[in-house]
Amino acid sequence: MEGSAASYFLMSWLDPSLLALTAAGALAGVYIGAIPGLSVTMAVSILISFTFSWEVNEALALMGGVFCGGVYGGSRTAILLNIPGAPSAIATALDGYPLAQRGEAGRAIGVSTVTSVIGGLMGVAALAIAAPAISDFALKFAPRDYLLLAIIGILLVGSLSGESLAKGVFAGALGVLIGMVGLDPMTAEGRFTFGQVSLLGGIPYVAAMIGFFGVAEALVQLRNLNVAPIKQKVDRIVPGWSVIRKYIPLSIRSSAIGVVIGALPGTGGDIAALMAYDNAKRTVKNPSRPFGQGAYEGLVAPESANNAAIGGAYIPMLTLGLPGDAVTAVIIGALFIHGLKPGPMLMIETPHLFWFTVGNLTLANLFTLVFGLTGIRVFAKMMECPRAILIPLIIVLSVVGTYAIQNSVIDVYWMLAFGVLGYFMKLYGYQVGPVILGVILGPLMDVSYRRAMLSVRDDPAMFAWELVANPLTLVLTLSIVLLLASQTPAWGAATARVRRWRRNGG
Amino acid sequence: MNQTRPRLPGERAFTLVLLAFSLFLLVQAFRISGFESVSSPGVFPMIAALVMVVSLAAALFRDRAAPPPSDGGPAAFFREVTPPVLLLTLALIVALMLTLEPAGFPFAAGGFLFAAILLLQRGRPVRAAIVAAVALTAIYVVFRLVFQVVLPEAEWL
Repeated sequence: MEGSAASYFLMSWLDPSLLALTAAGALAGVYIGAIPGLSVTMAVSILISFTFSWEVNEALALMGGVFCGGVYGGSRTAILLNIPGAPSAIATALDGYPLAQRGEAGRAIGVSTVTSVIGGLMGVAALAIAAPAISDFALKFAPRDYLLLAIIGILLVGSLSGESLAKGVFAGALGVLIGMVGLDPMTAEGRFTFGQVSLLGGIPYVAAMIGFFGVAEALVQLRNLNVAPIKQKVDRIVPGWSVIRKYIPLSIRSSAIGVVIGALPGTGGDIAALMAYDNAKRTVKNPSRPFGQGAYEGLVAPESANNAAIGGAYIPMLTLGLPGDAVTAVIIGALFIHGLKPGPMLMIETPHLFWFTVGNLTLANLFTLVFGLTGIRVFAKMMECPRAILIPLIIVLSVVGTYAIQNSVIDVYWMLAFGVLGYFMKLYGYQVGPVILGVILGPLMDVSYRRAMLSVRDDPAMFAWELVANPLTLVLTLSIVLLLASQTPAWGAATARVRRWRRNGG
Repeated sequence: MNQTRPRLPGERAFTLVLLAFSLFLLVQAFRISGFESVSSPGVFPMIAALVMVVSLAAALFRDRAAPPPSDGGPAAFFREVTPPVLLLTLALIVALMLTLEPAGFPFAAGGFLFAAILLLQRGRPVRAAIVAAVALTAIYVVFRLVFQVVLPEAEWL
C-alpha cells in the first residue's frame, strides 16, 4: 500500500500531460485570482463543463492548479490596487496596500507568495494526515449525522459570509430546493417538474453554478465600469531568507487556523484569512509596523491561512462528501460528473484518487511559488485589462461553458435566469455561496433525512431522541443550536454581560 | 450581523417577490405527497420551502429598522439597480442566446463581443472590432480546437 500511495502521489509529477495541466492551471489561477471580476469559483465552474469528457485525473489536475493559483492570485491586486481579486484576499488588502503605497509592493508580493505556499503545503500535509483517519471515523456516521453536518455547513456559510443569517439561510434553502427538482432518487416520483419532461432530470447544477458565479458577477461588475486602474511601481520581489525565516512561525500558526476553518463544512479561505488576521493582530506583540499601516504580519497571516484552507476544504469533501467551501462544492460536482461519489467509501474504493489529489495539490503549490515570483511585468499589463472587455468575455465563456454540458440552449437559458437572480441577490445582500452549497447538499440531506426517519419507523419522537442519544449526534445537534442561538439578540446581550462581568474581575 | 446600510430601491419589493415565490413552492411541495408520512418524497421539499418562507419573513422583520432609500421611486430603481447599461447588456445576452444555434457560435459570439465592447467602452468601433476578433479567435482555438468542445454550428452552413 505504501509503495502504491507514493506512485499515486507522484502521478501528476511524472506524467508530462498531468504536469503540464497542473502548471497551466496554477498559472491561469494566479491571473484569474488576481483580476477583479474573475473568481476561482467562476473559473472552476466553467472548467467543469469543458473537462467532463476528460479523464478524471486530468480534470482534477487542472482544477487543483487553478484553485491553488487562484487563492494566491487574489493577493496581488489586494496589494497593488487595494482591490481584493478574491474574497479570500480581503484581509490581505488591509496591510498589503499600505505597503505598496510605501513603495514596498515587490517585497510585499514576495513575502505573500512564499507564505501562501507555506500555508498551502501545510494544508496539503493536514489533508494527507487527517483525511484517512477522518474517513475511517466517518464510516461510523449515521444518516442523521450527515444531515446535521450538511445543515451546519449551510448555517456556517450563511451566517459568516453574508450580512444576515436569515438571508444566508434563505439562500441555502433555495439551493436545496433547486437540488430537489426532478425525479425523487428513492421513489422516482416527480418533484417540482410542473409536467415538463425537460425537468425530470433536474436543473443542471453546472448551469446554476455558472449563472450564480459567472454571469451574476459580470452583471455586478457593470456597476464598476468607470473605476480607473491604479498603477504601482513594483521592484524586486524575491524575498531574502532572513525575511522569510522571521515570518515562518506566524505563517505556521496562521496555517493551522486556515486548516481548521477550511475543514469546517461551508467555510473557506475568506473566513480563514479574516480569522488569522484577527488572531495575528491580537497575538503579535511587536509587528513591523502597526496593523493596518503596512505590517508584514498583517500580510503573512491571511495569506498563509487562505491557502492552508484549500487542503482543509478538501478534507470534508473527500472524507464525508461535504464541500468545505464554494470551490470544493463545484469540484464535488465535477467528481459526480465523472461517476465518483465523494465520501468515506471513496478513500476505500479509489485510494489512488486521494493520493493523486494530495500529490497534485503539492505540485500546484510549487508551481504557484514559481509563477508567483516571476512574470510580474506581464501581470501588470494584464491587470490593466478594462472591464469593458473583461465582462463580455466572461459572458461568452459562461455561455460556451454552459452549452458544452449537454449541447443545449435550454441550459443557457437556465444559466441566464440564475445569473439575473444572482445579480439581484448580491445587490440586496444575499450571498450566492449558500445556494450552490444547498444545490450540492440538498439531495444528500433529503436522502439522509428519509433514511434516518425510516430507521426509526417514521416516528418523529424517536427521531428527536436519536438527535440527543448518541454522543456524536448530540455534539452536532448542539452545534446547530449554538449557531442559531448566536444570531439572536439575547445571545448578544448575554455575551456583553459576560464581558462586563470579566472586566469587573469576575 | 445587523443590517445597517440603507435599503436599496426595490429591496423590500424583491424580498416580497421571493416570499410569494417561496409560498408558491411550499404549496407545490405539499402537492407532491402531502402529509402521507414523515419520510415521503414531499416532506424535505416542504421543510426547505418552509425554511425559505420563515427566513424571508425574518429578513423582512429585521430590515424594517434599516434606513429607507433616499429616493425609492421607479426612477431611482432604474438608475441605481437596473441602469440602462445593465438592461442593454442583458438584451445583448438574450440576442446572443437566440442567435447561438441559427447563426452559429462564431457569428453570434463575434457579434455579441463587438456590440458589448462597443456599448461598454462607449464607442471606438475599430478597437471594439479588433478586440472582438482577437478574443473570438482565441476562444475558438482554445475551446474548439484544443479542448474539442462542441460549439453550435450555423444551421445554414
